Amino acid sequence: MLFLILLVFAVGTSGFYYLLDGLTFIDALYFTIVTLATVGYGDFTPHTNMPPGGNPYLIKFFAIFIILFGMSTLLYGIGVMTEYIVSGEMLGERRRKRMQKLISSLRNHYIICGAGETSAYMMQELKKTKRPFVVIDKSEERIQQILNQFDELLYIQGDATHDEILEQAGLEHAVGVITSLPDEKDNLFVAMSLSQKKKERGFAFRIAAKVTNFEKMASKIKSAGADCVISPEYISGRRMISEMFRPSVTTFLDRMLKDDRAVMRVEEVTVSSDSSLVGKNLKETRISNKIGLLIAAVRKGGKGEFIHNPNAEQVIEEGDVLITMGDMDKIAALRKLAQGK
Amino acid sequence: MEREFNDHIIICGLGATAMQIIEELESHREKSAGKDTIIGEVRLRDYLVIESSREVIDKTVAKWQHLYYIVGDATDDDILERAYIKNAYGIFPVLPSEKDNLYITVAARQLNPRIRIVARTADVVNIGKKLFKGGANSVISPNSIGGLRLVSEIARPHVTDFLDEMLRDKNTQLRIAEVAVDRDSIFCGLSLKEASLPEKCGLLIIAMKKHDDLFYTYNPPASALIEPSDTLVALGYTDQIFQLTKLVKAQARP
Repeated sequence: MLFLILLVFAVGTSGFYYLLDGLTFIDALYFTIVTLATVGYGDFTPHTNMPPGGNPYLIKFFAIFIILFGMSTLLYGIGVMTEYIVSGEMLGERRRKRMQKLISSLRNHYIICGAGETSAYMMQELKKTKRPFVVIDKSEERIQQILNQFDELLYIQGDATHDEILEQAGLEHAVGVITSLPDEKDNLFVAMSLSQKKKERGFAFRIAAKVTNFEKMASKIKSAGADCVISPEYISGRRMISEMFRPSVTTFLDRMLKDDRAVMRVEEVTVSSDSSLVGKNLKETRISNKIGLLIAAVRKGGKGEFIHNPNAEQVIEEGDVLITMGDMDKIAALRKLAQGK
Repeated sequence: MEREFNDHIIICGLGATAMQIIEELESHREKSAGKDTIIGEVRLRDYLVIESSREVIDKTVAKWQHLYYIVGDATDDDILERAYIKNAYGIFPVLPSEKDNLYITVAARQLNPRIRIVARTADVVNIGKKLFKGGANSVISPNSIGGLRLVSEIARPHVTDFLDEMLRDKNTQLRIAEVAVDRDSIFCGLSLKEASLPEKCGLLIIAMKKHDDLFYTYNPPASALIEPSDTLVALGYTDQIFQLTKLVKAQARP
């Protein structure tokens, strides 16, 4: 298209340059554009600049050719451009590319398949606890709704049961994938393809799946490779019984979660080999004095029994998991220390 | 139903949540093996369900033969009366429609001011507020707690184990407990450091609440002063908590 337009200008300019007298190259280009734009100032005309002994018909025929061929090319070109812009394709394409770039720069992120009601709560929690995530949903409408709730949302519009869509979400750097699609069979399918990829390519993310029919689906999705399977109906049924008969049991933790002055959570932090915490005892780490967090439990090597309420002499080693509770900002500081960054 | 009910539970709507509620109640009953079923500190009497679809009732009765039920619309006050709502201990409005659950909540509260209402909603923010206003004691959203739980499982698996152990495991005696400070407790006027409760009982003071505060202070500093009517929140084993309670309740000599 662009080539045709350039060709019209090139033919027009060189044609007028040769056929007319006393025109510079710039004059010829100017004359072509003035002609094609149907402006026709009249400062140059085929008559006034006719060379002595020139063929007036040749010049007129050339002008007719340029006007007809050139104008139709130009109009067609403008039409195509307008459609491209109006249909938003240019914008959409650019946005998609920018989004893809942001997604591929993610590290230690979470992937959520399906943007339903349950997923909306997951995204809220991930956002509150400062964990990066990408959401995949095939419905454009649903993505628009979610976009109204979250700014700077990273999303992929596509079907999570397709491998290439999952790949786009950055599986190699993800730490967790939650599949929460409306169809149970789709969740089974996604769990299966994810665990296959883990095995083949050595990915390390955890897989969680939402189920509705716990009795029928839970064991199947687990054997497909999900690390955990949660039925919202099942846990809410248990929870409702608890609320009915022992309302005081969970109140403290619940109230902590709902505290709106700050984001308070029970969190875990894994100590890496680069961390300055390694080899120190709890008192020497000064986690309590400097960061202002209590360590409620330590799990040596991230396995087995918890050491509850560890005392000041408890030595921290590589691979230990610390359980703490408090302000997310403080926990982020502890996490940084534990990662050795 | 020709018999009368007292201190019973009413379940409105036989959806997925209701099925789980029944499942849970039945498993408690099974565990108590013919003796009284105690959940928390409450003795479970009978429960009955209200469901408008005969078909759903038949299916459920096929699974639990002794189920008490009323075929009818739970948003009809007569039906609620027939379920002896005035004598009931609690009610679960767990119908699929938010409006129905809100209606039942309001109606139940009017008919029985003492009843415990634990309602279900899909939208904790908007509908949840209305349910509380209508008289619900507690509001549960499967989407919300399901979503939170999924994130916890995937992002903090160790925390999930830790809390599970604490909240469910009968072998681990780890608990979170709130202890109120009496006016004449020996700790009044001392700082946390001076009281040195962790050293005395081996537990952690994870939070503290001043008597006139709405919110807790988490990880209170060592300099925080213990005053009458404060609440201490401790994490520890049951015997440590028992010891803490005893210490805090100890009276200063006049």
